[in-house]
Amino acid sequence: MTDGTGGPTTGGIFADRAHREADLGQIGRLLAESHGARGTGQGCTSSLSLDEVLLLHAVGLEPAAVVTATACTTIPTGSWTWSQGQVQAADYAFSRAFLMTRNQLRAEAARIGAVGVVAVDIELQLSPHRYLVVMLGTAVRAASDEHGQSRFPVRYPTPFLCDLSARDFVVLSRAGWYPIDLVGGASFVHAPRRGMGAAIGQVRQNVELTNFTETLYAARELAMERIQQDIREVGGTGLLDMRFVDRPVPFAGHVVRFTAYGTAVKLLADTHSHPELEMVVPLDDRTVRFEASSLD
Amino acid sequence: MATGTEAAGAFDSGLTTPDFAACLSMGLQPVGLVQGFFCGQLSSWSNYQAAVVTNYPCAFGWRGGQDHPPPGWLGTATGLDDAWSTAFATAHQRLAEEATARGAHGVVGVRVEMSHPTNDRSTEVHLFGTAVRLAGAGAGPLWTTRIAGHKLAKLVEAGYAPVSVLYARCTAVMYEGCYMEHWGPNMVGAGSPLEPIQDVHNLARSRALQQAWHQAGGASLYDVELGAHEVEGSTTYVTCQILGSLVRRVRPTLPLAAPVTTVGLGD
Repeated sequence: MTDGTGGPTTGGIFADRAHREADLGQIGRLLAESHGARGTGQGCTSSLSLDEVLLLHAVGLEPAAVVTATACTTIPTGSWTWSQGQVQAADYAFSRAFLMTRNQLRAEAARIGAVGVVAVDIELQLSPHRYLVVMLGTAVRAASDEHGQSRFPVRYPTPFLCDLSARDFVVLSRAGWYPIDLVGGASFVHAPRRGMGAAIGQVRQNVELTNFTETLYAARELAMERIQQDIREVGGTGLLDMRFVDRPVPFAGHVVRFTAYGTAVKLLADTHSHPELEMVVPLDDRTVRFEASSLD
Repeated sequence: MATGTEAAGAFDSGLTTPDFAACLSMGLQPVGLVQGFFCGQLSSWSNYQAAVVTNYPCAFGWRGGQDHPPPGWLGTATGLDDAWSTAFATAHQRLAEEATARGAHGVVGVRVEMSHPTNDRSTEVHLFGTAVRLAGAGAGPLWTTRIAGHKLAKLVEAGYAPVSVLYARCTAVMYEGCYMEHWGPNMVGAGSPLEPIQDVHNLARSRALQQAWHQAGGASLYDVELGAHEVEGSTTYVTCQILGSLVRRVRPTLPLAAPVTTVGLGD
């Protein structure tokens, strides 16, 4: 099922089932019965916790495999020499590395027949001569019902990628929204030098370094423009859980970087539906873990 | 190397109170705290015992020469990986032997600690958990799991049974020869793929995941903790380690109830 534009669409979602209390005695008997029994079904690897796996199963998905991708691109020597305007070599190195990693991860998910990849952990490493991007997440496939039919209501033309947790994915999908792709934008801008006279004249004053403030604004504008463009290109209508880094580059303190990334999302249901919330008061204390040091 | 220390009529355990209560309700009777240790020394050659995966060609098409550096290569540090994998497997086996000697069916709440206790050339693996007997269980191999209590109950309710704790790793090595220099930042334009660096990162992660698949043998691996560490120099090492819980499906998963969204008032 698609919306005719090649994008993913949704239908009805949940088969409502009554909540039931856990019978630990019965569960223990099931565990005893399974002791020594042979396993069935196809195996998988997953970086998700069991809670997350159960949550995803409730919306018709199950883990398939942990997938990973890496891309590293070059930044020529001299790119960080104090100058004016953008450090275009670094901008390009980021966008190429991010795009290459994203494409590799999607290809890996498609190879194993996954619907998408959730809880993608994104690692960005900038050094003077290179930009390294590593992505790692759990590819998920549609779970089948007793008739062998897919229980996941959305048909994606290509696997989706998102850095949302399983919990966030479930909350999002219950509201009618779905992740489309990972998007990112970065900008590296040289802060202009202060004049010698201004620097000397301000030595004994508490003053704003307007050159750095303005550079940060400029870097942010450029990066946000790029991420907005990326969202439109992947077919999303919004961005969730955006992470950003807005700091001077450690090895080039005169360059301000603004790097932003997150998950592009789109409303696939007819209307947004706000989930009904129940208030709970947890009665369990914080779990105290056993440590080997207590054996001393 | 089983060293049972069970006192008559008493048990010891590493379970928290909620986990202990849930285990009792499930018919899991704690037998005692069991442990598996391994301390070893890494061979002085372990960093140099590498299995070459790819020999990079000379970037300039040369076949050798007095002033020409050797072309780079990509491989895995088999010596290092074998040492740590053996250390884990031995400690796990000792944990299992101790539990079996006490008549347990499984070990719950297994914790794993790995370190270099004395220097970089030493290995120490310490596993400990609570051995349990299962009321009404027949014969079968001993299982181990990192979870206990209600989390174990959820696992069983979801149609799975625990198998074992799993550890896999791969240390990928990339030696920079002229190939790396060629692909260095001054030989190609901005944004060009730096393939040897990509290769060493991809190799470490993909081989560690492959090993995990191989060890799983058709079972499923959950709660995967994957950590990667890079040491960069003329030889770049990327180590990827995986720790997870191996489970097998024993019943089909039933569609679960739609999750209820709540707002916690505990803070």
